[in-house]
Amino acid sequence: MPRVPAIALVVRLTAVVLAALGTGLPAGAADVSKEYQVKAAFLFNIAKFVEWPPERRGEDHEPVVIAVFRHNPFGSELARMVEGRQVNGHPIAVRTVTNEQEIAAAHLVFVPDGQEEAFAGFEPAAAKAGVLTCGESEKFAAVGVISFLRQGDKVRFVVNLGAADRHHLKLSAQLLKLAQSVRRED
Amino acid sequence: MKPHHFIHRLACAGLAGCCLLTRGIIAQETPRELAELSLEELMDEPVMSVGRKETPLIESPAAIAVVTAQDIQRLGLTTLPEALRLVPGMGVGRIRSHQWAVTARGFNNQYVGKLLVMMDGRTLYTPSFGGVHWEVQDTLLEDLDRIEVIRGPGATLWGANAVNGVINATTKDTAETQGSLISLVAGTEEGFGGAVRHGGALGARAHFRVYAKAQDHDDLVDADGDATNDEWRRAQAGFRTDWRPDDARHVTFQGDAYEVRTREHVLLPSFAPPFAVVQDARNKSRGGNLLARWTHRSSDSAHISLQAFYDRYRHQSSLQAETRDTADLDFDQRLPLGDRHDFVWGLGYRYSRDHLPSSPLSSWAPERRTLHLLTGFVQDEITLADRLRVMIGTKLEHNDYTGVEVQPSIRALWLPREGRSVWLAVSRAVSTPPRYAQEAFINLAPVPVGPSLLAYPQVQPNPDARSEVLLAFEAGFRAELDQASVDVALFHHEHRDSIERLNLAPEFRLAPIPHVFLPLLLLNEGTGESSGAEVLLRWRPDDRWDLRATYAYFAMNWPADAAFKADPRHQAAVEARFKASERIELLTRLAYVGGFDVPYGARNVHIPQYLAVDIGLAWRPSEALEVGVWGRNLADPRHPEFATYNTATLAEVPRSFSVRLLWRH
Repeated sequence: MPRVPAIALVVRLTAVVLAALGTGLPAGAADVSKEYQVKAAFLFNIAKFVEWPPERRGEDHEPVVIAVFRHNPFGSELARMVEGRQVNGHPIAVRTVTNEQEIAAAHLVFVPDGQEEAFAGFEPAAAKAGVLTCGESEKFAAVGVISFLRQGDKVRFVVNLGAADRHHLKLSAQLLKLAQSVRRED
Repeated sequence: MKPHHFIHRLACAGLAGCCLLTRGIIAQETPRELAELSLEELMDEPVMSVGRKETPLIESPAAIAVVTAQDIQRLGLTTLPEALRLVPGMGVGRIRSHQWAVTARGFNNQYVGKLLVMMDGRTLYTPSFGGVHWEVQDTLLEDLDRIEVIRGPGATLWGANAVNGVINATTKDTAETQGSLISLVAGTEEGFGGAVRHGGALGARAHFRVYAKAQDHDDLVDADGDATNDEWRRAQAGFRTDWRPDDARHVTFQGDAYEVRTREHVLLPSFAPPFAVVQDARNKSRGGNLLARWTHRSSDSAHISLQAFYDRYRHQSSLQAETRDTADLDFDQRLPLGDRHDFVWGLGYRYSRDHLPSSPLSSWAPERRTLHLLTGFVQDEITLADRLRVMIGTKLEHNDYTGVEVQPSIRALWLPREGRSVWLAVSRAVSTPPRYAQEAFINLAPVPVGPSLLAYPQVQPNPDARSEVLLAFEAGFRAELDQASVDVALFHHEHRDSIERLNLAPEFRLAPIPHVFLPLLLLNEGTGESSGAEVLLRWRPDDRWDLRATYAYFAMNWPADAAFKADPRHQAAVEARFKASERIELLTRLAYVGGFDVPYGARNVHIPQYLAVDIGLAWRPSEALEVGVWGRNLADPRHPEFATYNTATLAEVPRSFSVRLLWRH
């Protein structure tokens, strides 16, 4: 049995490792917490299971607008995540929205924790424009269509069907099935 | 997966998670990859909040790999050992239809004794022969969360016999398995199988699931393609409940019961012509387990947990029967000390009572034995600088055969930049002698030594058999880029006091027929080295493609010609998954395993190199239904993978096809 070329192997592979360390490849990991990475992925995924009112369904080249209300907890992560992807044949645009006009132009608006009261004033406009509202607190679950709630170390979501009706949105049965709870009435 | 689960799973199994796994490992998907997950998968995705001590793979200073439930589903696998083939560097060889030899980093055989295997915190190690009865280790694979595999003695800090690696399979929390599931499998090798599961809520803070499954497996074949008569079938049922009375506390209660019927042709020594007879043995294994676990997490970095389990295994056979009752109690605590120290300690006790009646294959003295194992561990993870961490710890245990064993290790992790890590480790590990080494006579098939004279070899027990010792030096490197990742691990292992079989002076005996009696003794005389490298590359150029390549090199430098060198020098695999549409996914996997020699009967047999080609197609005609079709080992009509000393006919794994329907609601 030949002697194991352990040293040679170690030296060679160390060289490979050091070479790889030195290369200036872009870093992959993001600064945004895993929780918001997962929530960003949820937003993109949920959009596939929502039917917007006919007047909001644009031509194929028109983007589905995913918006964040005021404070953006996703950083650039949401935009990076959806770059080049499609929702039901539409490209995706990511925006930060602050006023009624911008909100009404979005298809999905994410309302971060702490912004619920600030958003309350825009709720009627959002409902009229058929905007899917998503939040992340128990408080928001009472008025918004979808709310993410942490359960242990997992992200779950609840659905408010009354709100979905007011916003003229149809949610697929599969989405409802996966929801942690479905609120039928407001 | 929650970190505290993992910790005390390890602790409980007598492993006492010294370094890395006390923090739990999460597979690190990049944000781009997250977007590719389905809603169901996103709901299963653990989130790491600030201060939460779950460790991304890249920050783990050990050779860790994760096989996800999705990997198993996509390949349509129906047994746990087959899933372990996906880990780079794992040696997995099928001996019979229902028997596997599984190892990491060499020394493979059916009774390898150097691998610690757990399921949901329950140890699957069998002290009588030092291996795992793989045929009785099962769960509803659809509800499996992941299999974490640590190659090398990164595991040693968790206790004896984790020398070559630790395998920990965990099932999903019941909150994640709500609703019903029906799975039906039919295949040329699998035969028929089916499973049902139902999960529901018990109030707002508790969930449960119950499942039942049954699966047939057909024979393997001999070199001519004829059946080797080793078909088997198993049935299993189980439950799990998870109750969270508040955000801090989590109580799990779970259990399984199974019956497995196997058949095997075994070569037995005989004093009447033809002197070695092939017995067609029918075996029945029955068993079950119950496990309760209580965890209190007072903050993100502090917890206390307590776990108890009971496991019964009863194997009835015309060859070698075995009954074993195991009861195990474990406690562990994690607490941060200041800003720089993350401290974990734990204690464990295991009671194991067995009955091994003497048989034509072996006789045991005593036949009934009760073993006690006491374990304790401490570990401190010290943050030396922003990007530099050191972990120091040791495991202490007392067992009935070798007394006190100390297994310390030190690991260092350096994060030179975002998405890069380098780790180094030095550890000492031991594998304690299995019960047979000290207390069993094992009869091997006779070998001719003259024109009409046969020698009957018999392994003698050695009451002085000690633990085998390993000193391991490891290094690793990981890089995670936007679309690709690299994981390299290198090791150099120095083995001391390894158990080897030595021939004692033969005796000429006249009764019952004139023959040569050839006693063999197990002695701690082996000294040697092994080295190798394991590489995993993953590339996801876009949403549709997922490409992986693995390579593992293993070499052993052993002065004596040891019988246990049954390991391929080179192993490599390439896997491509292609998502043709939202509904159709294609998979191709090519795995190369180099040739090696393995003891077979009284001699060695050469297992030639082979290429295994698997192709699969998954189609989702609706949200609830999934249809999978697979072809396995397509490159050749059949090939042998492994053998054991009492194999009557070298079994070969044939080309096979299977189809599965999976319905969820």
